[in-house]
Amino acid sequence: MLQKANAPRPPEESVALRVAVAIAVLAATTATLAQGVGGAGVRVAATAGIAFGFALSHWARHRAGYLLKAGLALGVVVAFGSFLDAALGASTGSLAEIQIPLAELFLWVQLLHALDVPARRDLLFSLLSSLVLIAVAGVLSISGGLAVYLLVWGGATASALVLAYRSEIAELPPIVDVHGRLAERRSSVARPVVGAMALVLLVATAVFLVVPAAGAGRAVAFPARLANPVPVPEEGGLSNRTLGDDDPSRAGSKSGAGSGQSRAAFGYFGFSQTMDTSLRGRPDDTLVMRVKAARPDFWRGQTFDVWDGRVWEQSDDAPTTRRGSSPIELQGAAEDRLRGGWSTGELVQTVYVERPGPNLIFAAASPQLLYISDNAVFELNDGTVRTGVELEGGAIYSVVSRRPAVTESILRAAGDGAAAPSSSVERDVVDRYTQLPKVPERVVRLARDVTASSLTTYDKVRALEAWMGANTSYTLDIPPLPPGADAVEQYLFVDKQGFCEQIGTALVVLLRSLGIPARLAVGYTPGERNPFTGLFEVRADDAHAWAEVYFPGVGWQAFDPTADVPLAGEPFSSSAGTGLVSFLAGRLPALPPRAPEALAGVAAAVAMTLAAVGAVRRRLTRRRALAARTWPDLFLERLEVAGAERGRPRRASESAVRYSEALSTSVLPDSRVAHLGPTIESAAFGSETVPDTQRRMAESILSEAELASPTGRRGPES
Amino acid sequence: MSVRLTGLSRPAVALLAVVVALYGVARTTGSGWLMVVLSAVAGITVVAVVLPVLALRRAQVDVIAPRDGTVGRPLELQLRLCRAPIGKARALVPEGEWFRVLGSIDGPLRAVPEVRGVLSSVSVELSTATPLGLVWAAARVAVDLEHPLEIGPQPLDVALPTALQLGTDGDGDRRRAALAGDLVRGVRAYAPGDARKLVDGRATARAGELMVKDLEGPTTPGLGLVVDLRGPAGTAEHTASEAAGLALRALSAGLLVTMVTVEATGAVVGAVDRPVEVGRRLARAVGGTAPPEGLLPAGCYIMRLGPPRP
Repeated sequence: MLQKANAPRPPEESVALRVAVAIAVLAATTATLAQGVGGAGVRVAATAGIAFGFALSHWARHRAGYLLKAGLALGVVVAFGSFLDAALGASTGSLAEIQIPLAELFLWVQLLHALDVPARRDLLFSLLSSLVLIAVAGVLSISGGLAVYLLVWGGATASALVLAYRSEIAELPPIVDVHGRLAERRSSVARPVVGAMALVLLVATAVFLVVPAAGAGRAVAFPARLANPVPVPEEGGLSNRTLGDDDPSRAGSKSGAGSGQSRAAFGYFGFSQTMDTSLRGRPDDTLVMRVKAARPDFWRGQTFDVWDGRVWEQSDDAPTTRRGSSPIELQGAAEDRLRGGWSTGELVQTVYVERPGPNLIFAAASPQLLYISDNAVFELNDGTVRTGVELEGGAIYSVVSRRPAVTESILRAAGDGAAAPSSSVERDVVDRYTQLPKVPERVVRLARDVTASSLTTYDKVRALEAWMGANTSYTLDIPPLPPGADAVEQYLFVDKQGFCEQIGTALVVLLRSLGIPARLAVGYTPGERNPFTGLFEVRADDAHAWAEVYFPGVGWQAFDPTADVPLAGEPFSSSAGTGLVSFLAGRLPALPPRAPEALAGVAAAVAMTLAAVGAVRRRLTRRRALAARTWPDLFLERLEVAGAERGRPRRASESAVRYSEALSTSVLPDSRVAHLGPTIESAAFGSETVPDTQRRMAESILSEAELASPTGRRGPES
Repeated sequence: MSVRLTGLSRPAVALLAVVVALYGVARTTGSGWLMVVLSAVAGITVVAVVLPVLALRRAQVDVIAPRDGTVGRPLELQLRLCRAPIGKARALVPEGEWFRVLGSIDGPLRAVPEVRGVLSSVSVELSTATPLGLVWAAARVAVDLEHPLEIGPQPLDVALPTALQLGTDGDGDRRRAALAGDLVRGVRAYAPGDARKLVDGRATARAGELMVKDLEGPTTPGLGLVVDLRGPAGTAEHTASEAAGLALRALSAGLLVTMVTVEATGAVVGAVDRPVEVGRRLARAVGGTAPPEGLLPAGCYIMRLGPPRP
């Protein structure tokens, strides 16, 4: 059996099959190279080498090539040794760190294999290994650019499978007629390929819409990378070069003054030491980062606790250094460590930084572990984290957040944060996060009036959110804050409109006026989920500010009157294709106003035209078929109709001769009818033409028999 | 037509193994693109399973068979395939080898019958894995024949009994003369009542009186074969083959052959004068009851083939 398995296969002669496989392999190879795998040498060797290899394999397909096989085996050993060397040199042992060397190994194996693919089995193995390569590219890819490679690979693979199958069938002996000619009529290759691809696409889309999403990965595969780490000017300080002159790390910068002359279009003024709510202008839609996570959340960067009526500030200016090898363990806020025995939900996030930004770790609340290619970070006492280096485009870090799996009922059952703090930590929380300047009386009165009937902190928050939702509106276009005006009073009673900074600030101030600890958090909303990569694509205009409220024994919980913040304990599930339709629709070009109606009209016109053309074609085909029918066909059909009308239809296996004999002794009792069958067969198959007189005689015999035996009178069946 | 899946090709098995591994990688790495690739592979799998079945259901098969065949000898069935998917076809009953199908077919399909009997239909097997070659489906189509196909046994090479070999020295005319009683053994004087045609002119001239030919009486009226096919199948087939061999040998020796067989409708006794008739009679013969022996022509050499009498 071993001998049989290893027996050399006949060489594959089909050039088309070889070309299709080569295209599939090259598509997978270039897809992998496009993810940053390998240097210039590997790129040239892989692409040119694979193309050359397939050509060489075809030329040498009839040769044994033992020397070549020995050389290829040696090459595989060398490639594997190189991979082992890279893998053992990985600092953390994480699978993420050896992904690139592993991808390079696959490339070398693919290249070496391409040099020796004489038989169909070898070509199909190449096709299978191209699937592995395209999967490697899929693992490494975080953008939508892989789609083009995938389409090319898919088309080439479908073509290769169809051609391989045809080649296998062509090896069987053909059916030849008596003259030695092939008794077969071949069909084209293009139709089955196109048809198969269309069906595969349809089924794949349906599967993609229902199959569970991939998830966020496991601990062996958390990537982390810092391309060229540059330390921030002040250790533990905040740096945000996108704010230009307002970069808090620049000495003498007017924190919060916001001249913004050299501020990047995607810079957000909230990522600074202070946040001035009188500033106007929003970032553009530049893609700033991609986040891989199992569920959406707010990616928090920092919080503000000191409010002066216009500007927020951070009181903590001495973050704690956390050192260690990756993953770095974070302590979190002191009050977060007072949580009761709630079950915790773990959320893993991997952030792929696209544009340089602040040295803030953006993550869901309560980050506990940080995977980063640095050995020190700085943790503030609110649990947020700053890096010690600038985060440039290309940086990658992973965070594991662990929060209580809270639900509405848990929050309702949690105590009132203002009443009777049970520890010094909670007293500090109350003191710090209920701080307010002189707040206008009507703001305080509003808070009390709206929450008069609410019993729990949770219900008070929801009541205030509802009031704001009913009485104010969200807009980016608000008038400037008058000098000396209180930002919250202006928003609630004068403008009655605002964006996230005004809304979040108003909620925090209203809650603090009731003695409920609350603070303003800034970061990013989840962003739009790309169904193909599974990543949340966060843009600069996703920058956001929202309120966080303290619940004793539970911790901080985010609230936002402008968005639905999911609770950690609420079930969440999504399929891989969630959001596919809206994602694709959002990328279609904008249509003019009446375009849908026009398109519908065009579609209807096209459908009607196609239907009419089809009907005309069918009629023409039928006419041609009728015209092509000969007298024996027509006369036999007439005989069949005559018999069927009288209850004796022709059986499938009955020849014309037998049928006419049967009719002559049953429903058309006339002995002459028995001769009609032989006449038909002579006319159809005889070497000499049946003369017209004989045809007319046959027709008149049938007519006479029909007249003598009208329909409805059935004879015995024979 | 009943269609069934017959198996996975080797590339399909390898593909399934890779897919299982990739699913594990997708869960480990959380890669969204891998789910796209796996969805595409799922699409390929569904298409590879469903299309062959649908394609076979559309196929139209027609077969024209010859009237006669012999066990172990190839015969040609005229096969007409329309709307057939790319794949392979073979005759199943009677069995033949696989031939390729690359489109519509109208040509001969070779088959070698393995079993004696009468076929009112032939079975053709179509198999395809179109278009991707990953999953094979097959369909067996039974096509009713316009006239039954009678498959005779493979004749054994047997010698005629010694008694029938007397006078069988290769002279067919002499034997026919012996059968008819026309063999001249000498001349004699004319006796009243002798036929005029018996007058031998030369002998009369020599003798000076009327002389006539003296003829041999008619010899035995040929071979009578009683073919009893009762008993185990193997024994019955051997008996049929033996009968075929004897009958054909007797016919080639110029003997008259009469066979007694049992068919589905009852005992049949009759002469067979052509090799094709031998095959047809034996194709239709069945076991069941003992063939009657008293119906053979008087004087013929009777041979009883089959299980011993109790």
